[in-house]
Amino acid sequence: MTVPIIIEFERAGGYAGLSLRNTVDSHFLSTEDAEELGRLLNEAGLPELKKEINLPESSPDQFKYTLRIQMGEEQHLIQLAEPQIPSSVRPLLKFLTKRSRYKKENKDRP
Amino acid sequence: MTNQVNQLHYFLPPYIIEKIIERGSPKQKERALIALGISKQIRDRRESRPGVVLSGITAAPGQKKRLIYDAGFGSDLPGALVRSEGDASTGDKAADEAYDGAGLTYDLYNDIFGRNSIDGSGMKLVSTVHYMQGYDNAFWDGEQMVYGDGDEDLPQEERLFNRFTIAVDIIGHELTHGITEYTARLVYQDQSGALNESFSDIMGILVKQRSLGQKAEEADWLIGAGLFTSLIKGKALRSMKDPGTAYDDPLIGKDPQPGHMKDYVKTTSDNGGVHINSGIPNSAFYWTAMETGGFAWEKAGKIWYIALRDKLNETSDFQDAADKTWQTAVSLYGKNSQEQQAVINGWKKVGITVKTDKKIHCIDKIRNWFRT
Repeated sequence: MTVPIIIEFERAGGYAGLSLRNTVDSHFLSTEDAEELGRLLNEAGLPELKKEINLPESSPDQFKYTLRIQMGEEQHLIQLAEPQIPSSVRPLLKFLTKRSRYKKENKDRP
Repeated sequence: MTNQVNQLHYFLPPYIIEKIIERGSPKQKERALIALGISKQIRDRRESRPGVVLSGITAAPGQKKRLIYDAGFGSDLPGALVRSEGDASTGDKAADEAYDGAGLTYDLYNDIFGRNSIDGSGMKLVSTVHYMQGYDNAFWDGEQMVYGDGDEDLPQEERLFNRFTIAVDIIGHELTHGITEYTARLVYQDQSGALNESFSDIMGILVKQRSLGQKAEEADWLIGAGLFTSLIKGKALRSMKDPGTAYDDPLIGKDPQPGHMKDYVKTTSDNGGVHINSGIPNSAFYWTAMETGGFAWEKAGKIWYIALRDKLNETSDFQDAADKTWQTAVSLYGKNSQEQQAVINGWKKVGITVKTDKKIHCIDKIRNWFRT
């Protein structure tokens, strides 16, 4: 992994109405996690990924995700809403959600 | 005019029909009344709605048809069928809770409000459990209910959420989103969205109270009690009795719900705070139910349901909900009744003054005439 990656992640909505927010910075990930993040981003199809997927109308209690991604000099804003999330993106969301759970604000820094 | 009559019930909104009824010639009034009756039938049946596929199988009036699926911790819906109507318990807690909860919700609507399932025509009740892994949510997707298991993928000592079928009011909440979709269709944004959420909380709590045989003054009015594990300092997800007091925890923060318009939260998050500002209409219902007394579904619940079914619309805001629930109470119990006063007082508690000087719209009178 040579390109630094910073992702500002937000998951909003849901039955509980609890938001998750986290910033994941590859500089502060283990080598293994940083490589996995890079792989997941590739699988998700950046930069070809559309900026909005099924966002306009939200069904009740479903999650909406916002990803502000900086990869080197490139910046991407991706917004997605359940349930129409591409299967290629789900592993990336799972990775980010897991690192954001049960902490109201969390930064992957030592 | 003939062509216009044919088109009236498909293209003209009710307020235009109302004008024709008020100002038209006798013939025009007659045709507008006919059109309005047809419109009501169409609205009740919801036969043609873009983006929504009606369930293929319908049950006879008063008969529920529950189908419980297991997604196997994946994301494909509905998953594998594990329990059908009338089948014995599966032994899977989530599946059996989804089955029982859907039944109790159906019974509230059918027995108390005279509504045969989500669409009013015996629509089957489809639920999927074990949706994805570590999925701390439940939702209505437009056709079915979907439930996660919380954070079951974490070690027990780290878990914050139990399975989302654990509280029957959650099931009633999700199913009610379906009913809102077939009735007022409250847009899921800002105040109309908060009303959408509130109606789901209200009906969910009535399912819970009815299952426990509780009167308003005996109930805890807590939404999602049991959802949090013991790691969270909180009694529930939301409190209708005292918004903002359900939890206060160092990990997830403090319950953000307001209970009064002066504390209304302006935010872009959560579709304009639909899960936050729902505390205000929730509280209005609580106070109304406490004043009417007895079982909350009998009067307050009935008023709110009929307002949802007959009076509210996609863009109704809190003021409109206050006015329309009051108008409903007047229609049901009389303009000097204790019930209509309870509605006025309930909304006043949260900082909204019912506009009692507004006339009950002619359209609502006509709808009442056609109501079965």
